[in-house]
Amino acid sequence: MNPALLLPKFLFDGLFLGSYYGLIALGIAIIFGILKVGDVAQGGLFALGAYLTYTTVETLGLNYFWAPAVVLPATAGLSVLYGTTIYRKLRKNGIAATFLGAVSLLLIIQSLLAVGYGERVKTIESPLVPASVNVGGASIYSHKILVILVTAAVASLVWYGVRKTTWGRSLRALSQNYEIAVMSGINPTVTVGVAFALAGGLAGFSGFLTAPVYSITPFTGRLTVLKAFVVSRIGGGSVPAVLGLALALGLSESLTSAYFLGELSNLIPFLLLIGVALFRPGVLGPEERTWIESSKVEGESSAFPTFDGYLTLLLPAVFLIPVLVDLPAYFTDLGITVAALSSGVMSVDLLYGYVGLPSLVQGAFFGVGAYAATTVIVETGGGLALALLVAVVSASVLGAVVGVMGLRAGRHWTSFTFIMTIVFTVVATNLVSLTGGPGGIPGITEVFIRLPVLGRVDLNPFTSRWSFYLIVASVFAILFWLKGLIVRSRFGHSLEAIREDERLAESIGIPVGRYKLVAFTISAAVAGIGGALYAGYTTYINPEMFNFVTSFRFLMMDRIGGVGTPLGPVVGPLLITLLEDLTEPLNSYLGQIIFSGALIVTLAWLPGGIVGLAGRVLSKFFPGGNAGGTAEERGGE
Amino acid sequence: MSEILRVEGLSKEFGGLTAVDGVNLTVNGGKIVGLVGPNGAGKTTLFNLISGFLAPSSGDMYFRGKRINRWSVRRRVLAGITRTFQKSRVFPGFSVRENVLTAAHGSGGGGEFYDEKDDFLDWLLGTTKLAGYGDRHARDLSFSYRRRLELTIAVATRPELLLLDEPFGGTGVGDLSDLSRLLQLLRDEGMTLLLVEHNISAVAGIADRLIYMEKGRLRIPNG
Repeated sequence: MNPALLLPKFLFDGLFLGSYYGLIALGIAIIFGILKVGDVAQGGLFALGAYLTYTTVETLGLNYFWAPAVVLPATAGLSVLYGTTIYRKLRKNGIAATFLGAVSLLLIIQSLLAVGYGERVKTIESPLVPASVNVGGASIYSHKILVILVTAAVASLVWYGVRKTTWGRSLRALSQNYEIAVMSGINPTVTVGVAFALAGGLAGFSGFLTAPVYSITPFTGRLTVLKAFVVSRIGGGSVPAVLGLALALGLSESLTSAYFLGELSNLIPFLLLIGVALFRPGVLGPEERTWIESSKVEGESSAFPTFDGYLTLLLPAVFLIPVLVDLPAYFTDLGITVAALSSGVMSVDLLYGYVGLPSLVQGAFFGVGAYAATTVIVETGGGLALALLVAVVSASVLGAVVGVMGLRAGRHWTSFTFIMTIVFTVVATNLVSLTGGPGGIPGITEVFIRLPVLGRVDLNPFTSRWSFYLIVASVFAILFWLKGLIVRSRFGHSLEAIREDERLAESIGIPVGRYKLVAFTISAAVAGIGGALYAGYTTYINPEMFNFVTSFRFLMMDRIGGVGTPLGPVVGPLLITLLEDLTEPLNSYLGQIIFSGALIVTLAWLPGGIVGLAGRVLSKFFPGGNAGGTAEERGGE
Repeated sequence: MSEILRVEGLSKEFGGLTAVDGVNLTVNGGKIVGLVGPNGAGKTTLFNLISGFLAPSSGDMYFRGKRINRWSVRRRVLAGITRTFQKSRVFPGFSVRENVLTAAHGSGGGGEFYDEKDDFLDWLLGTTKLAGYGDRHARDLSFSYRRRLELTIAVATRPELLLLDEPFGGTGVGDLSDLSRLLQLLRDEGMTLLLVEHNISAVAGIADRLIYMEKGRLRIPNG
């Protein structure tokens, strides 16, 4: 069959894709003007719209076209609710905090959908008759044509609203200069409220429109909202530009997917954004004021337990407890999991806590380490030492590459790393020969290590549990001490100076770019090791296990545990793993909801996380002493 | 005294705007040179060029006879050129002492001036009257102390040539005379200071030489 004959089909597919991308992108652009952040939670509202449509049709038995009456109030209402409460609070703490809050909300909404509707895929049929029409010799779904036409109508309305109404003028004024707009009499509450309602409505409406076309899952919309975000940023504040770009993107995706690249066509918008961002980093948004408050000290300059004294170096000894007391297997399992995760969290902490750059790509390096280790052990029969070495090297190399690009992204680090994670996941999912694609590859079943005197020692994690456990604990201890050394060194102190004021740091001779790159490479290496440890313990791995949710979880664990402290990156994963184990029997998504919510709480009210909170509580009982390391210890001479 | 800084035909254009236009300037060591002029004259741009934050469109810069056009900011700091900013910058989360230590660590600098100072940092904190504030967090400092800290940070990098961007900006009367004395002390010890200032009376009181800049060009006063 001549592929050219299908061209009309791919063109309409492209227009269809572009249409609903465009609708969501419009909503995101509208909010971005006020919030200066990409509201990725709209992806959750998109999914909600699809699900409510399903409920309307299947549960309530109504005609498909009644669904907007259910969808719109729900998604618009929810958008206004979280927009005027959560975002308003987070916005005061900076752009990075707001963006992380948006990601948390996305996860919460989608997890709630998973809890409410279950994970199994749902489908509904388009009510249109005939279901397909013949255009230019190809068979096109009528529903897709409907979506294209409806989008054109809705987009025109939005354009009219933004350009010609009082509300639209107020919105544009607030987007350009918030303070002056308010001072000239514009009511921000109403304008912002309407903006969120409109955006939420657009997202939900897109979900409604596409429900009969795609299968409905709680996680639908994640990739879509990110593509829409890209479109909204490059298109800027102009409705025709955003919509035009969306259509162009849809078409290029459809055509390249059909004729050249398959799934990799998903990468196009992100590569485009990265390309533009390398020339104009401003396309990622305004600069992120990434440091809110250090976990270490707030308010008075002394008398605050900081838990970063030399006593904390003893922490790894805790891992000996299950061995000495002969605790049940659960505890060694927990220990291995926490050690592996903590490595990932430490890697985030190095950047987030010390350089002041919240980083959302460590999950990918974790994955690289996992895959490297698995490949070495399973394919080549190498030992654990070799596996760790390959993991470190591959993660570091990739880390350096991303780091160099990241230097260009500057203070848009959070958004940039977020995009990179998506790129990694899509690429990894498609490099089937290397990664086994979505199906993954079987995990490590036999691990051995060559020790100097003992020779080859087999460490099957499932049969000789102490040996594997102790190896993992030892590797963790080394990483823990290494991180401690780094942050106490002059290099570490220079990183903190970069966090405090990058320009000033540069002006006193600190090689800012170079140091950031080194920090980023070390961080990637540490994450890679964590991944290698993790791979030794799971039965199989696939790229989705190292996607942005993983990266986000690391960051979440760091923030909740206490960013920028030695203990935080261990306390965080420990707490979260324990509580997830507790809630899993109820529902496997409950943990995600709780912790995403906890992250929002932490971002808004508890900058120091658990460790910071503990410190503050303890300082009430032990005022006047300094339980942690002093400035002199850290400054060094 | 030998020549510390020489600038020849230095120009900087931004699109159609010429911010610095063929500036020729020679500064000898151990002097305080004041650079005055209206807003938008190009004074800060000139600082950015000399300190390495901006690359020139044309012209040459020489520090102690070496051409520094292609030198990075870091290299210039290590060689002994340090600048401050119009809006005082400090490391807010660090204590005063940590602020100064960070600056002292990052650099080498040069000049006999420093060899003779045992416990340079204690001397520095004492001279800038910050000795008692070592543990105070920089973000908690009042404006005038912040200014002092800013200057301390700059001197902690052991510069030979110190470029100060509006050091008297917003300073009250009492602090003004303190600051003047401090700058003169640094000069007397052998440092070269180049000041951009709007407060002409303040800078005229201490400058060995005044240069007027307008529309990107230097105007040497007659006589």
